[in-house]
Amino acid sequence: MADVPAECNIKVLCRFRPLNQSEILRGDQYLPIFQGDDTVIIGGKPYIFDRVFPTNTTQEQVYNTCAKQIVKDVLCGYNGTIFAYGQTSSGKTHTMEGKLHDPHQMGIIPRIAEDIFNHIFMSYLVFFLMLNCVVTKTNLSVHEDKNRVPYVKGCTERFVSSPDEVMDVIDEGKANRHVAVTNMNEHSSRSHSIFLINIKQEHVETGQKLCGKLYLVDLAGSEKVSKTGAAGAVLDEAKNINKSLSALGNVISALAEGTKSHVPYRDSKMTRILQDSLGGNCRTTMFICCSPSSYNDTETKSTLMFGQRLEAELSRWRNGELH
Amino acid sequence: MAAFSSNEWRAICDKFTNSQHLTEVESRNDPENDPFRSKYKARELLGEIYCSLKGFEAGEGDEDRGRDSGDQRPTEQLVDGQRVDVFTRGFSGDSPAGLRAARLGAVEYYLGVNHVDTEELSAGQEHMMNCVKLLERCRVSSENVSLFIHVRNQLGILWAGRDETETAQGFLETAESLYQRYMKEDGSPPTDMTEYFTTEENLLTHQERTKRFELAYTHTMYYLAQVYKNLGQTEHAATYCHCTLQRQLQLNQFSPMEWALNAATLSQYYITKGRYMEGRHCLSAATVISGLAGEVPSEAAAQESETESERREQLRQKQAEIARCWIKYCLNLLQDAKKQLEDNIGELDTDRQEEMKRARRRDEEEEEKGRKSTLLFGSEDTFDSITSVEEKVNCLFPLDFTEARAVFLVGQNYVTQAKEYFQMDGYVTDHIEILQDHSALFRALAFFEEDLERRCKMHKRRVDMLEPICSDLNSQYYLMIRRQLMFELAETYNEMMDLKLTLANRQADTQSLDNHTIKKFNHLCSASVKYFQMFLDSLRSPEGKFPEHLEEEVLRPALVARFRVARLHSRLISSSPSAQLENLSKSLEDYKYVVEYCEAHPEAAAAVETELELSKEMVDLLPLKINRLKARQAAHN
Repeated sequence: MADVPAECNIKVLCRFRPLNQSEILRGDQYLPIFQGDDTVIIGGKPYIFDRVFPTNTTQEQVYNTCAKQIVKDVLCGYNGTIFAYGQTSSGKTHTMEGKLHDPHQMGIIPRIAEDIFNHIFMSYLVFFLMLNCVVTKTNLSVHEDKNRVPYVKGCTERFVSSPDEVMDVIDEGKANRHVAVTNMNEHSSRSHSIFLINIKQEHVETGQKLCGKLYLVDLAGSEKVSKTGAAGAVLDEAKNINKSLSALGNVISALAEGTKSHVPYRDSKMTRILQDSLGGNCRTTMFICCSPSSYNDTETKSTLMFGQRLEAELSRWRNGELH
Repeated sequence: MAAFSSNEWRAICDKFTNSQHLTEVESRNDPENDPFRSKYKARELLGEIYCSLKGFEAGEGDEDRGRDSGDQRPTEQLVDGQRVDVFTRGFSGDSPAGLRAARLGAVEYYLGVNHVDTEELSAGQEHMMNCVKLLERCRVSSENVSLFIHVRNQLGILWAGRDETETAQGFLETAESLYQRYMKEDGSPPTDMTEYFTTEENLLTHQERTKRFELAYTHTMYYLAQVYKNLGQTEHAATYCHCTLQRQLQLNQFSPMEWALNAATLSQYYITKGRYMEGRHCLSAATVISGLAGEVPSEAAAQESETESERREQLRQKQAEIARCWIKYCLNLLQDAKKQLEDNIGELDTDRQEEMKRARRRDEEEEEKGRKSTLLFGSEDTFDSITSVEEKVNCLFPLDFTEARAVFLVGQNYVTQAKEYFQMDGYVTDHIEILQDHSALFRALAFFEEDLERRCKMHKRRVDMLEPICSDLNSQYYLMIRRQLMFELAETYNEMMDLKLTLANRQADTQSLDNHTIKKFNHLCSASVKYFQMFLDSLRSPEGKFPEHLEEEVLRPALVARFRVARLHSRLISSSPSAQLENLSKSLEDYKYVVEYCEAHPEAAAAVETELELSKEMVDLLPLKINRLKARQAAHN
C-alpha cells in the first residue's frame, strides 16, 4: 500500500474498549458480538463499518491500521484528517491519547508525533506548525483562497521540534477548551477541538517544497450537556428531538437537503474545515469509540447509529460532488 | 377549608424559587466530574414541596373526593388520542381539588424534568405520567391548561428520544388539540407553570402569561415538526416548521436574521418539491424580515470595534446566504419549466408551449384560491412589504423567452449580490458554486432563446466565466471542483460547436462551409476535446497511469467523457487526408475503450447504456471508413 492516494478516501472505524474493573464487579453484561473485522452486533442488530476493532485490539494495531498511512501521505504533501467521536466512558481518550510515555499504551496522537519526527530526512529542512483551535460559534474566522483550502485565522500557532512539544501544544488546547466550555451558555455548547499539524518541508538543495496537513478533530463536544454530539448540520443525529428553538434551522435544513437547493450552513466554520478533509486529495479516518457494558447500552447504540449515519452522509457528500 | 399559613406557604414558595435557581443558574457552574450536583439539590427541594402538599391533601381531600365519586376515571393508560372528556368531566380547574391537583401535578412535572435532565429517563417518565394522571381528574381550565401542554411536550421529547416516535406523536398531537380547543372555548391567559408557587405580588401579567403559553404551543409545533420528520412525513414536517415560523413572527418571538435564514432554508425545501408559490413566499418574507435586523455597520465602524466588525460580518454573510437561496429559486424555476417544455431532443416544443399557455389562462382562478389557502407569513406591518417583494418575480413556469428572461434577470441580480460577500479570495468554494449557478442560469435561458447567434453568445458568457477559474485553482486541493468545471466547459464548448454548425448550415446552401466557419468550428471542437481530456487526465495517478478500475463516483462521467472525445474527434473538419485519418483513428480508440471497459466491467454498462450502444455501432463502422480513406490515399499516391 505504498501508493499515494489520487482520490479521496474516507473510512469510518469503530473501537470497543474492554470492561473495566468496576463494571466487572458490578456484573455488567458484555454486549457486543463481533463478526468478521467489519461488523458488530448489538441487541441483535448488526452495524457495519469499514473496520471494527474488538476489545483486545492493541494501541499499536489500531495505529497501524488507521493512522500510519495517513502520516505517510501527509509527509508526501497530502492532507489527512482524523476525527474522534465518543461519549463519556467510551475509551476515546485512551484511543486518541492513551498513556503518553508508555510505548505500548500510548494512543494515536503521540504515535503520530513520534512517527512524523522519525520520518524526517536529513536533507529536508522542516517546519512544523501546530495550530491549536477551539472552534466555537463566535470566535475564529475561516479563510479560503485559490491556492489553499480553508484555514482558520487567529488561533494559537506554535513551531514544534519534538514529539514532547507536540503533546504540550495539545495539552494547552485542552485547557483552553475547558475554559471556553464553561464560559458558554447552554445553547451554544458546541465546542470542537481541532488540532492542525502543518508540515512544510523544503529540500535544502533542490528547494523542492512539500506541504501536508494533518487535522485531528475531537467531536465529542460538551459531554454533560449534549447527547447528540452534533458537529454541524451535516452530522446531526437523526432521532433525538432538539429542545431548543434555536435549532429550528437544523430541522429545516434536514428537510431542504438535495442537490437542487442551497442550505445556508449554520456551523459554517466547522463544515468548511471539514470540507477540506472531504474533497480533493486526502485521506480521512473517523473513529467512533464505544463501551461494551450493558450499563451504557443507550449511549453505545446512539454512537453506533451516529457512525452509520455519518458514513452514509459522507459517501453521499462525495458522490454528490460529481453529478 | 384548611390552608397553609402564610409563613408555611412562603416557605414552600421560597423552596420552589430555590429549586428553579439551582436548576437553571447554579447547574451551569457544576464541575465536570459532578455535573448534576445542583440538580440533585433541586430535586430534594421539590421532594420536600411535594410532601408538604401531600400532607395537607390527606386532611381535607375527603369532601372533594366524595363530591365527584360518580366520575369513575377509566383506568386505561393515557397514551395518546383525543381526550375529549377532559373538557367536560372532572373537577373544575379552579376548585380547591382542581388547584391542588394542578400544584401537585406541577411538582411532579418539575421532578420529571429534573430526572430527565440527570439522565434518569424511567424515573422522569414516571413523574410526568403522575402529573398526567393527576390532571386527568380535572377539567381543562386556565389554571391547568399550560401544565397540560407542557407535560405532554416533555413526554413527546422523552419518547422520541427512545425512538418510540409514534408514542411521542400521540402526546404531542394531544397537546395540539388541547390547545386548539382551549383557545376556541376559553382563550383567557392561563396560569403559567412558575405561578403555582408564587406569592400574590409576584403573579404574572396577562400579557406575560399569554406570551409564555403561546411559546409552549410554538414548541409543540416545533416538536411535532421533528417527529414528523423522523416518521418520514416530510410534508407534514415542513408544514409544522412553517407553522412554527409563522407563530414566531405573529407573537414577535424571533430574532430577525435567524428567522430570515430559517424561512429562506424552508423555501429550499419547497423548491425541491416544485412548490414555487410557497417557496417564493418564504423567500420574500426572509428578505423583508432580514431588513428588520438593522443597518449593516459600515466598513469604517467595523474597523473601530470588534463587535461591530463581527456584526457586519454576520449580517452580510446571512444576507448573502439568502441571496443564494433566491438564485436557486430562479434557477430551478427555469430548469423545471424547461423540463416541461422540451421535446425528446432537448429543444423547445412549440405545441407543448401553446398547450401550457392555454392551461395557464384556465388555471388563473385556481391559483388565486391556492394562494389564499397557503399559510401566510406576516403581521400587519410586514404583509404588504412581503407581497411587493413577491410581485417582482413569477412563481409560475416561464413559457417563453420574455418570461424566462425576467426570471433570469432576478436570479442574476442575486448572483451579483451573493458574490459581493462570497468573494474568490476567502470563499473559493462558495464563490465557485455561485458561478456555477450563474452558468446554469445562462444555460437554462439559452433554451428559451430562439435566435441561435444569441444563444451561442450566452454559452460564451459561461465559458468566459468559468475558464479562468478552472486554470487558476490549485489542482491538488480543488480536485473535485476542477473536475466539475472541466466537464462543464467541455460540454459548453460542444454545445457552441453544434450551434455554429447549425447556423452555418442554415445560412449557406448545401455546399461546403467557408474557411472562417471551419476554423471556428474546429476551434470549438478542439476546446471541447481539451477539457474532456483534462477531466480524464485528472483521474490518473501521480505517475500518469490511468486507473484500471473506475471508482463509482467517476464511472459515468469518465465513460461519457471518453465517448464524447471519440465523437468530437470524428467531427473535426480537415482537408488533409492524413489528418482525417489520425482523427478517425483516435476516435476509434476511444470508442473501443468504452466498449472494452463495459465488457470487462458489466456493472458499468448500466451506467452508460446509450453511449455504449452508439460506441458499439461506431466500433463496427469506423474501421470501414478508415479503410476507405486509406484506399483513397493509396490511390492518389
